[in-house]
Amino acid sequence: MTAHKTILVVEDESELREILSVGLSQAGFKVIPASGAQEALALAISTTPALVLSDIRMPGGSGLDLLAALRARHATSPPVVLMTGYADVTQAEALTRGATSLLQKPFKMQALIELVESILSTGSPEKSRSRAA
Amino acid sequence: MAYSDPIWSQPVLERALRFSRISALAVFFSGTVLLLGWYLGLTTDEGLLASRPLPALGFLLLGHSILALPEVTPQWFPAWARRCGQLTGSLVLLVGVPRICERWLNLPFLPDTMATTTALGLVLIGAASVLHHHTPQLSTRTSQIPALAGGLVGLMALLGYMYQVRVFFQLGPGGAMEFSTSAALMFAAAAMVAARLPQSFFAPFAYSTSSGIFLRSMSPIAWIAPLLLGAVLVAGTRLGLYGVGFELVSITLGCAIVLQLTLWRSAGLAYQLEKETVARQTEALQEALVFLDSLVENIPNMIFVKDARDLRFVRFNRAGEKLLGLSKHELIGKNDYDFFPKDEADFFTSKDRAVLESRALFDIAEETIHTKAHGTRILHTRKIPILDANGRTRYLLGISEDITDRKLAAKTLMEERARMFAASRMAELGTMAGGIAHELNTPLAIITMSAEHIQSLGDPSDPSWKEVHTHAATIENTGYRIATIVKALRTIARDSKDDPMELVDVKLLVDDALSFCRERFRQHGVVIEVDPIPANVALWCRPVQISQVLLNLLNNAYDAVENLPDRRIRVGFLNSATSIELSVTDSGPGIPREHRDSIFQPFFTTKEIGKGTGLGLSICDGIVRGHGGTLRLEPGPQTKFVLSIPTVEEERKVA
Repeated sequence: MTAHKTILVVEDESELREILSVGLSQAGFKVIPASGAQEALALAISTTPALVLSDIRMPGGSGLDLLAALRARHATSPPVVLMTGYADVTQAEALTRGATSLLQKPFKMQALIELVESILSTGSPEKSRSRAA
Repeated sequence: MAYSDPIWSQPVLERALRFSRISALAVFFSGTVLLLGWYLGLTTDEGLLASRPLPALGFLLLGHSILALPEVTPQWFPAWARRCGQLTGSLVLLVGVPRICERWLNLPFLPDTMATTTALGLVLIGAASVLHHHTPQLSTRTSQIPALAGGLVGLMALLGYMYQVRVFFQLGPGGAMEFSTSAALMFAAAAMVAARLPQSFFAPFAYSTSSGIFLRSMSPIAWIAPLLLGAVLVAGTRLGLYGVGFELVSITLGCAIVLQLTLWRSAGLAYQLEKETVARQTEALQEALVFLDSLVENIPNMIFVKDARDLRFVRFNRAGEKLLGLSKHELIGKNDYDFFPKDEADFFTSKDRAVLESRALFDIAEETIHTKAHGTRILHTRKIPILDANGRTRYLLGISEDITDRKLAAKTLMEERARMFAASRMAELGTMAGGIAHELNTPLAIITMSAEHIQSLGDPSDPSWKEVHTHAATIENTGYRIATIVKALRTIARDSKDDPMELVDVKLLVDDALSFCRERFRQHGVVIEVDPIPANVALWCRPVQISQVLLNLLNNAYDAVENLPDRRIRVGFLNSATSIELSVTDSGPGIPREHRDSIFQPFFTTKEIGKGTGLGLSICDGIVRGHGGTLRLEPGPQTKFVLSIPTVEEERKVA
């Protein structure tokens, strides 16, 4: 189990943020919710989460902006998993920008948990990337 | 009749005037010479050339009077000399009249100065000249009568010399007319006549027609031959070579022979002229025919002529031969049944009969013919009845313009316009679908994840747990189904004409299309039967386009059966050696025969207003043709569209 590993969940839709938080908490993760990119960046710096799960399209700054800010601070950590309902960013593009994986909404909670556990257990973006791809 | 009229032979008229001028000059100079001879005392024997002053003066004046005629006057003739022509003519009378009067009144003044016949001749021709000067150009012939009479006096004298009959050149007690005088009188008379030949009794001599030619060529023989013969025979009699009887018989026979020869020559000439005329007319006719023929042949539209009685072709031009791919030889004498299918020939023949009956031009804006050489062509034909002199229909003239290419270009343009219209609609829809997709995906994620979460809650021993669990699973699954539709919608609404060709599973294509309508069909009680499609059957195509075509066919099928008691749609699959066929059959009443040719045309629709754009099938047809395949309507009572896409070539491509 990955007890008390912290995950920063960034999602502007409160209901989705809520259900993601509940699901991840039940799976044994510590969840820090954030409703926007700005807030998330501050929390990422202050709390150093093990993984960031972020929506792409959000008012006041996108998930890609957040990813770029995080990668500017550190090349690989924390791993970032992006979520989108759009077809504008492809998996390959997300990986190039430094994300570990891209999830297409809607997805199963079970699938998310498996992905997160896999990333955190290997700790290696390469392996998890190949798996995600 | 003007001199320029084609009836006159212009060379003859010119020659006549020249002759007239030269003769008048000759008369004038003969007078001058005689006057000079008299002055110098050069008098020869009586009868040949006696230089007596009065006749000399008479001819001098007469020559001048004729030369002063407006038609005859040479250019160098001085104006004053022209003006006094009438005066000199009158003076001729003054010279001659006293001599004649002397003869009758027996007044012996001016003895032996001029023969009485000479005086008569001079007076007659002089009078004619005065009349000529007096009467305007193109006047009557009366003024020529005295001239001819004067000429006759001269001729008689000449004959008198030839036949040794004195009374002809010496009338009464006065002196004899000289030989030269008789010649001068004849020349003077001839000059008068030739000056106004077209108004004279001899006008036919100037005709350009055969009669003119006959006269000109025959007259010399008719005059000269008998006169010479007579002179010779008379001379023979005088010398005592034979008697008068022989002479008479010879003259008669000679004249008959001359007459016969003249007739003979006339006949030969007439034959020659006739032959030339016919040849000329034939050539002109031929030329006119060749001209008309080349016009007809070079008209770029098909021109044909049919006999009105049996409607067989009697004429065809080059454009017609080219269009039908048959030579004139193969066409002439045949009718429509020899070249076209029976129903087409029936159609043409009935139209022909209608045109002939109505006797009016008939315009067929569009008719289709099937030619061996160029396949199906569309023609714009006009049929015109041709009547004979009695008003009966004799021929049927047809003019056909091949408008196939024009029609095709118009169709292509229309299709292109339709395609662009559809593409712009699709692009709009695509943009909208993309937007909706995002709007839907996040809420869908909330629904599915919530439903998924519910399933992990509660106590399985609770009696209601199972029910809650089942419903939550239904909610989750339905959410994913919506997600699938949203995804397919986003894909299918794109303008996919530039998509790359790829190898796609046929089953996936069909399922994709069905995902859009399966639910709607189910709700409206439309039963859909799908042939089993084996896995791993792949098609080289633009998948979105093929799905679009299938969806379109399915939607049409749905519209056809929507309000029927029996609502069934069947999706067929057939994998032949060279192609993959997908078919959509509905249980509807089928497409009416009259619409079958139009259904693939852009903007054709039978759906109620607002329901169909009429673009669906034309676009589908375009897409399938873009894949090298065909979209066709199978004949039969039910509507069955078959989409056939070749596989062979594509497999090679993949390989």
